[in-house]
Amino acid sequence: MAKTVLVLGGGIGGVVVARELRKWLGSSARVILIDKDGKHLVAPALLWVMEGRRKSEAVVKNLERLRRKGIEVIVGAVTKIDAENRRVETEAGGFDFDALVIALGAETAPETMPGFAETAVSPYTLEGAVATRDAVSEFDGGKIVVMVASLPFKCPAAPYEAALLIDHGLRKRGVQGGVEMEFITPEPQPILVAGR
Amino acid sequence: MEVLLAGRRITYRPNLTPESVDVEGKAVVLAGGV
Repeated sequence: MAKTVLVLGGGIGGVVVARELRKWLGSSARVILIDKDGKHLVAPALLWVMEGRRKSEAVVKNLERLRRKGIEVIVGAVTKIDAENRRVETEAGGFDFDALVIALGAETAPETMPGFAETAVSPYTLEGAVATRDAVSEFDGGKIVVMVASLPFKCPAAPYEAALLIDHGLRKRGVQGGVEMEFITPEPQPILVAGR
Repeated sequence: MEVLLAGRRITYRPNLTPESVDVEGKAVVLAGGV
């Protein structure tokens, strides 16, 4: 009987694992990817959305496309992982597994920092990238603070990349005078994960 | 610490944890009252 591999999460980790497993396992196993909304967000492109170089719809891909690769796609949030009985419950029903890959990712929690949601923007989500783009495009002078709220955080280069791109965008628009930028971070140095 | 970024001076402040954003003053409030 064919084995079943469940992959939870349709982000970059889940999609790459599912595709690689599909190739390695051949017909000896079913590969099922489960995602809460059936959409893959191309996260590395969020900063391009922030820059206005990509439209929102260009960075969201339908996971249904994986079916052409022989990967089964289930849309529904995971509600329970029963490791003992090797079963996952989702909004779309329950699924038994022989092997399980958890690639559910991390979500930002702006509500945990007082005042953030009312004042700041974050390019870590699609909506946030659009909001950052709009805020930067309206900026005509003053001080910009780019900050890392807490450690650890995903994509360690992103805040630095964002600062550079914002600077680049302001220069392109000719907003040069009277612009100050401050970068605040709990890290002891930029992109510590890359080494000292 | 100040770094020069493409001709624009950016103030780099490591080892500081932001605690909140002051909506009225649009200021970042840092841990330890910095």
